Amino acid sequence: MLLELVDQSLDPNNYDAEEVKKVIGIALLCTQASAAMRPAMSEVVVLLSSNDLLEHMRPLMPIFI
Amino acid sequence: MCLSYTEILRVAISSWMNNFSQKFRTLGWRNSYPGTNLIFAQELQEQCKSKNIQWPSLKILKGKMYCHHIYAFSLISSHLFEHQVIEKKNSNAKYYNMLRVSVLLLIMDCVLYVLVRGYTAPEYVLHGQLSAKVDIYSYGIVVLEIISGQKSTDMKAVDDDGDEDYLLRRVRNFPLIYQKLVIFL
Repeated sequence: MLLELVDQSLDPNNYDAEEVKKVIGIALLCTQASAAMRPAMSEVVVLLSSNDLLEHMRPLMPIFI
Repeated sequence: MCLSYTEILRVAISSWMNNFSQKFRTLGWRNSYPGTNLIFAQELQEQCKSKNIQWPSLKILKGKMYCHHIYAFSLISSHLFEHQVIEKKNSNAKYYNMLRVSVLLLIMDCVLYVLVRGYTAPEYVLHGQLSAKVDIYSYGIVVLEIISGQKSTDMKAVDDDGDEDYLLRRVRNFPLIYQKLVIFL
């Protein structure tokens, strides 16, 4: 489902679906309403370079939506 | 430019909180977050109509939320001016308060607009709390923009019903839809 979000002009064969999901998940973690819940930039770097750490973190919905 | 805009909003809101929080509490404004602003706007619009006060229609109000946020500020100032003109005609204190409330409601709408669509973190827009986490928020929005190839200010169709939404809301809704599908299956 998350892949529907990806830019239509990109060729689906040119990117890894799992990586895109990971990056979207990280972006969701970063845009949480509570500042305390957002990761620090160093943590973002760790999440980006790892493959399975993100599974343990679930972004909360922001207040305004 | 974005900074000065949020700064102005912050001042406007803090003065509003001080002067009108009591009034809004009696009118049913439950919390400081503008989540229910359109329902509330409708209520206020009816009250203004019954007192013969000029009030921007809901359609215009919604239209304004689609505008670019810097443009929105010029709209606020033009409305402030309009209301000041009316204010001189009716020196009644009740009218005066109502007009102030309507102007501030318009500002709250624009705050909602910035919160949902901009790069600026909510706590900075509302309370002026600046930290490294504000930049993290902006980073998240930029990443989503890069992946989707759309600006966070663009409206796109979400589903077959033709409901349109902003980038962040749309992304947030995807996991929910997914969960619903899993339960359904």
